Amino acid sequence: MTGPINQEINDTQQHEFIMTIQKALGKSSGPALPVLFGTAPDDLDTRLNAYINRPVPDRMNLLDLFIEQAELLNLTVKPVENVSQAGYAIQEFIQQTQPEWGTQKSVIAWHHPLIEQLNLEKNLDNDVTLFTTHSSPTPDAKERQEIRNHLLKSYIGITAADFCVAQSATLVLRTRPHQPRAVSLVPSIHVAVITLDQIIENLTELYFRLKWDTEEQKLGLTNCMTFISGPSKTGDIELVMVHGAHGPRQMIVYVITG
Amino acid sequence: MSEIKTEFYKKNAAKAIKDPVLQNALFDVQNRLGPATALAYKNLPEGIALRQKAHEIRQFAINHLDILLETLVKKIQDRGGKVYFAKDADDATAYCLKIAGENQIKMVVKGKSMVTEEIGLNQVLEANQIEVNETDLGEYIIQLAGETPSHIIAPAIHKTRKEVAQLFTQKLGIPYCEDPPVLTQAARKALRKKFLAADMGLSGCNLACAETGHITTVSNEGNIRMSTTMPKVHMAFMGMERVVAKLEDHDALFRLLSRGAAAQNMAGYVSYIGGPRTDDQLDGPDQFHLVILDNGRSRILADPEFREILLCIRCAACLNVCPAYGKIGGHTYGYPYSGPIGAVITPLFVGINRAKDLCCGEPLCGACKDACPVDIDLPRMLLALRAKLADGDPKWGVTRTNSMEKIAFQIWSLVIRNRRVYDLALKTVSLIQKLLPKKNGMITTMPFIFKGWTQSRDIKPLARVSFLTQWKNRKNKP
Repeated sequence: MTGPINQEINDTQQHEFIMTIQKALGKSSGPALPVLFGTAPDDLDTRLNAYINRPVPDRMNLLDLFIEQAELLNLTVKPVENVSQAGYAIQEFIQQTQPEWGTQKSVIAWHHPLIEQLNLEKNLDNDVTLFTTHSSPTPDAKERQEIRNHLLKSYIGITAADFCVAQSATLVLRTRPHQPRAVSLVPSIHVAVITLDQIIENLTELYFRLKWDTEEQKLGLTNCMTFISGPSKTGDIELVMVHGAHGPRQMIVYVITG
Repeated sequence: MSEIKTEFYKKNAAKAIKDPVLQNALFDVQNRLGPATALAYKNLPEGIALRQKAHEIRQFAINHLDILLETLVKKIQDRGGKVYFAKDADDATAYCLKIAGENQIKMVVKGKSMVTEEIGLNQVLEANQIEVNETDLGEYIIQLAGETPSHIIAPAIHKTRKEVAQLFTQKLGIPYCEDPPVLTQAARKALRKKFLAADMGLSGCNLACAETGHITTVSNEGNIRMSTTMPKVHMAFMGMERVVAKLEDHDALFRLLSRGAAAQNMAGYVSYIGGPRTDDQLDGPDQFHLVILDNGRSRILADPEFREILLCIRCAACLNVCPAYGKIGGHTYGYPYSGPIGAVITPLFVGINRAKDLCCGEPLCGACKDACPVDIDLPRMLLALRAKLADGDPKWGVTRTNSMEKIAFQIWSLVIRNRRVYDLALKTVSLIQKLLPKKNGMITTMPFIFKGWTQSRDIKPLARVSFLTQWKNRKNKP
């Protein structure tokens, strides 16, 4: 691993590298950071307030926009009235679908308050195994490997999301404890559950909220924030669109509207 | 270093034009993506003006590159990421080998990345007995075929489904089938094993964000997410220019990048990666390394005439509209970067004299500038390169390609500034042209240095009576 001597070499190398750039730019130092990254706009509170406290009809319009955009991406959106309906719908979906590899019906779900409310383990068919990604505070290699094994066996991965951008049909997922990012990636089908108030208009709104909302600032972008717009796809053979290149072949988002 | 074959541009161009399969493929990709991208720009809420805004964002970032990189690096290091500044290709590949050695890496999976093509990373790893698996379907196809990418976004666009079917039958042992979904599934299956077995994942970097301290990776297939999530070590390579200042800068840039690359509203997957797995997390790599590469970029940065090329975000929109690329294809350019972007940046990387045919082969029609999501004036820089070739340039070490050309133009300049000499020249030429072979009233062959003009087309002879004389005669008539 990198020792103190290596660190010193790295620092010198960085210094030389940056000096070369400064020389090329013909300058000695840059402006202070706030100028580079922008200052809070005057209407910050008004804008944030308008975003966060959207009237329900506006939210329903955003849902319509999301559904419309999702269709173009082969992303299925299912509005449901409440969380128990979402739970039933997902159970039904599990019944109707078959695994891509092998015959065992394994499902993996995030340990997350919203997903817990789905009550998926109740009345689940006998042939289905459900695994929830609950872990200890600092999971060791063995624990992680165990969860990875469950993940690799699962053909459906169930996650929540932080935001859903209607204009591009994009789910935004932060990485957190108990919520491994591979659940939305490795299984053949990605099922996401969100609530109506998580749907926002566009990327402009997303970045504004991430940057200026104090609650969002606290969370930050984490070490891996993922945008997902539909199932995995490729057009690399004669530009023919095929779903399921390496990620999920199918993706469904349940939106709890109530 | 990637192998440089820019000297064979003319020879390879001639070959490409005669290849009917390639011509079909190129026509198809341009016909489908070019107009779709133009329409996608037009349909933006802000309209095509967003491209100018994106230009300003990128310009601002390049002008403050030093401080933005320092900020980015600091934040990544604070999260436990390792950053390495590589001055050239050898430096970057050596670092990769060193980390691979420390971790006893035998096999890597790799997301599509132009900058790793530029530094020739695969060859170096393979020479050191490390198995490299390209995972983007297009890259995987050409890796199996032992070729190089011919398009920045669709690297295997020159391959037909028949060729892919034969290749997969031969290399993956699957029954022959030309159906793209079946072929894709075969690659999915084969590569799934590699993703799970690999100890190291390699990726490029589309755009970094200094404010938050993240790099971003973009894909539609999910292969980059796989490469950066499943293996224990993730190493990302970024050209030093690929950073922007603010988080909200990504708003315009991602929408434009997705439209420029594939006429999409938004790419399938975008990941903001800012460091390795934290102790409380269940997955993600234990080590995250970012290699920031100069490899000739600071030299470009130092020249105000070419600095603008560093604004490029490698979307390949210029390839999809370029009449030259549409006929000669990506391999002709003899370096990983092809099309108009390749015609400007390759000479600046490998030597302007060495890659002179690239900038002279582009038609200066301006289609690339109109298609560019960040509104880069590529034709201006193509002309600037040609001016260096015509006059020589000590700063870039350019020697004049043809001293006779300069003399010829100086003579021409004298001739056209003197009416009587010009008229005399016209008269002489109109006498000489009577001796030249003609067909349907057109000259088919010209001699000496003029022969290039009739190499692939016929040329109209000079009119018997010049326009000026005709005009005079008409005026003199009552």
